[in-house]
Amino acid sequence: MTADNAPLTIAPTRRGRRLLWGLLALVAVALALLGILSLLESRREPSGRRTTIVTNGVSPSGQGSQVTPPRPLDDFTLTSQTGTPVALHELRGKAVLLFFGFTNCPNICPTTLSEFRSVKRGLGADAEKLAVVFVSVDPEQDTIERLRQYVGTFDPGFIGLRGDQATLAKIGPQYDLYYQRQPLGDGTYTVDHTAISYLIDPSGKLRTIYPYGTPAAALTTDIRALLAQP
Amino acid sequence: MRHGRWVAVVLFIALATLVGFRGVSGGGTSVIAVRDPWVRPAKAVQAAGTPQNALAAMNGGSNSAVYLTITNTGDGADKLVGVQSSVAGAVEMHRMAITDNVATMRQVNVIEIPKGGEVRLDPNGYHLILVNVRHDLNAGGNVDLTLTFEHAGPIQVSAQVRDQ
Repeated sequence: MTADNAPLTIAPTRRGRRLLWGLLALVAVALALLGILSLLESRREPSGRRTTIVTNGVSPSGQGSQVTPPRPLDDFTLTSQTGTPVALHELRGKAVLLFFGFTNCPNICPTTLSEFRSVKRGLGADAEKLAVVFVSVDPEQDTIERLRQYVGTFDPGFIGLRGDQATLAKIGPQYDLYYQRQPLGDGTYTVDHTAISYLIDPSGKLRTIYPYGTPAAALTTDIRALLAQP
Repeated sequence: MRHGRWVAVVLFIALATLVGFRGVSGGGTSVIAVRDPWVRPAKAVQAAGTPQNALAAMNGGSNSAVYLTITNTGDGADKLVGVQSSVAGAVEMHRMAITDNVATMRQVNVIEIPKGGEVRLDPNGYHLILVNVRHDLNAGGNVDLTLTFEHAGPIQVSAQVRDQ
């Protein structure tokens, strides 16, 4: 290299370093921003809800989360679609499939209750050892009559319960229950709500929870396994 | 020079028009087909009767859901912009989402149908809601629907009522 070339080779290197430092600083700032954003996101989303159901391992079907240890549930009494009160402890001795919803729910609840109906059919003679419970989180609208109509669309043997605010507030935390009215443009509303299916064992303890969309076959497998236990 | 200016103006207008049309059609033609439509059974709420029932009817009455698949074999994108049915007071487009095991439903104004693609309206995402059904929808029956697309226009569909 000649002396003439020397300044030329040094100059780009300096510029290059400066550029590199600049880029590094930019990346650092971007990373910091991303971190702050994700922190804000994680704080915002659950809107104060805390998961209290401790699960460990999967159910025999591989699709449910096992509650460990099985969680004892507080007893509660609500009015059913026949107008008579039903208490949870009255269902002892049976496996219980429970779901929270509302009768104006056109998608999530019918999808789940249809699966429950398939479960009941799939159990055959053992169907009498299963109780299916649908608890409304929209008592203002869900009259006894509406509940009867709605539950009857799926299976008149299903137990539709009209949840009142006090009872729902009391038992809700044991089920990680969340529900919130969302107004629609036309003055009506929909209800955001927890879409977990709960399997309660014959001794009244919460055994397994299932995400929305769990197929009937998986539920049937787990209920058969539960009923087979001594 | 004067001619040159006019040529430029005409060229500009022609180009603007061309670009404008491309924007409207998305650069191609959509070819829309609807298949496997079905509707969940539902019981209509009688407006007459107890005051509670009338109140329930006021708040949207009884709803049902419609599921189907929309395919677009064309080379242009399209949008589902509206749905009507004689059995419901209104038909809304909704999107369901699950966050932290909580199900949320939000109304949407359009459903985009990409070119050469398909969009499934099923219990896990987009679906249609029949708001305030006018009579009982029993399994085995049929529900008429008119789906209106931005480019393909209205498409008539007959959806069977069934349990799942």
